[in-house]
Amino acid sequence: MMHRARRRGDKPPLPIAALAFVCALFLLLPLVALVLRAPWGRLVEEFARPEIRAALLLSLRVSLAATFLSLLLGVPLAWLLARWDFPGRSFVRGVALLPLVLPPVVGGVALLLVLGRRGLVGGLLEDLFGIRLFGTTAGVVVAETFVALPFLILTVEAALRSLDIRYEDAAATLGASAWTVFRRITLPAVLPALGAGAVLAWARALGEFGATITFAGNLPGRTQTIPLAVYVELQRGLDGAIALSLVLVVISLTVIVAMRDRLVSSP
Amino acid sequence: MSLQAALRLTLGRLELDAFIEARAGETVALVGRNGAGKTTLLLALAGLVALERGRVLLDGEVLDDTSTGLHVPTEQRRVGLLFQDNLLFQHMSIVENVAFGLRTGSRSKREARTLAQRWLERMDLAAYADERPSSLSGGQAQRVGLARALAADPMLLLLDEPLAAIDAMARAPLRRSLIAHLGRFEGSRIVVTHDPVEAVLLGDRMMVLEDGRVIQSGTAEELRRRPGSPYVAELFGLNLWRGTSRGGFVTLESGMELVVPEAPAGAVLVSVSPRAVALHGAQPEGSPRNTWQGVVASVEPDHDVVRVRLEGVVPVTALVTAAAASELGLVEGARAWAAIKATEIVAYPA
Repeated sequence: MMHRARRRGDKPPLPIAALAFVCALFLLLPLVALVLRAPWGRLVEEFARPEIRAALLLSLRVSLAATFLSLLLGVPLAWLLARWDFPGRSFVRGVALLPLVLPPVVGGVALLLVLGRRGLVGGLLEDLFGIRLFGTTAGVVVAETFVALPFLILTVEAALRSLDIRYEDAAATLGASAWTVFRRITLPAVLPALGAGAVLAWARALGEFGATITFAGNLPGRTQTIPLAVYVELQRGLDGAIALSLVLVVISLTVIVAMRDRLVSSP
Repeated sequence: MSLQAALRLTLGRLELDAFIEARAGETVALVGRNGAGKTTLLLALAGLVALERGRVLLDGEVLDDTSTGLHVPTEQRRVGLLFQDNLLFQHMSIVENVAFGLRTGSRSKREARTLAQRWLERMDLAAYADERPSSLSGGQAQRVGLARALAADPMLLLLDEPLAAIDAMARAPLRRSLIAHLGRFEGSRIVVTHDPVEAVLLGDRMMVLEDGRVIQSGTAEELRRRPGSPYVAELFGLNLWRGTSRGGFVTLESGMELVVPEAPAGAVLVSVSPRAVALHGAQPEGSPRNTWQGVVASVEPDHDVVRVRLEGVVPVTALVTAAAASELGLVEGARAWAAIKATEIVAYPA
């Protein structure tokens, strides 16, 4: 593919340049506003408040747990989708990607119907194992995993597909069982994609709002993650909400900078 | 450690239906055009492609038998496979690559490493043990690939165009190295190639695959003397025509009649070395009766001679000296007469 920038001296047509400028401003200004309007002087105090500290810590713990769960469940499904031709494969792939386009709040409602106290599986979980998901921290992990999984599956499946399967053939002729091949050949080869997928999934889990509030509720210290706390803080005044938002912005920017080569292939 | 395999399978447009046999210590050179099924045949022997019908027997052990449903998975076959592009594992060091097949056995990590190191020494690559495969030249990488395959102690070694991806300068040394190491290997080997020189140097016997079928097999000399198909003739650079023989004459498919005193009666193949084809500017007189006119289609220098392709009633290739070519004005589009002495023509049953 040829990729060429125009010469520096040339000027783009005016209407295009104008609209592009508006677009860039539209994306940039909200961030600038957040930074300008941030209560810099009282930032330390804001973060010291127990409800905000609790939200930060909870978000960190829960999003990492959701990322781990996504890896544990998502990698095998990605592998199956990439390597095995089973009936209904495209249906399963569609289902795996559904949370990507589904409004998170709908996802939350759907999770309630399955894993809620009176849900299909939720009742069983509670009766047999005493596990309650609705209104608990575990419930937040489930909600975040639900929305984060597609990012992981998509990234890892694409990497598995682009892998030359003959490397696995070569390993098999050297006496490696299917499990050894997966562990020593396939997994190391897709490690970069695995990392990228995990970071994307983590960022998505961290920002999750709709499914969490619907399925797990909004209980400070138990289910109130940063996005939920931002929402609650907004009712009180702007400072707390801005402080928490800044945290999410910094994390998002870090992710984008760290992954810029994987997200967009810039020249 | 001999191999007997009857393989039948369909893969895309390829219908493979072949029987292949190799004695212990024998190297079979498998030749054929692209898409003839050479690589698929190797993959089937390795158990990487499923058979529709067939039976694979290696050293008396049944690896595949579709009549009983028996299928030994690849990792339990002890069949080594060397790919054209070596396929070294890029995330492992070179010694780890060679040790890979040793570790899948019951050997400890240290023992596998020691043995792998010894293999690298044998290949004169010990200095590269801890480097990544990307730091090797094509020839070195292919030798590591061979060491990796041999270290796993296979009973059958399959080599898929081992020299094809190597640049011309490195090819001869790698070929010598391959011959030396294959010589020490006790099992059977099958080498896929499309280079007749390689087939002759590496193989004890040649097998020609066309459209998934074995159309000829024998020593290189046997194939060169009596090529059984246009592909084999092309491989050795020979002219080959199909015809019907009767009473000292062979009538070619084009209707042209050749004088061939010693041709067996019936359907025959007629083969002529391009060196035995003389070219003339005008119709030759005298003894050679097999002459016809044609138009020069191509003129290609081939080492110290010139290979001239003449299109006409019977298309023919001739090798002439550069001096003769310029004297006769042999350029594309020029007219010339081809003449072949009857004694230079080899005819045999088709």
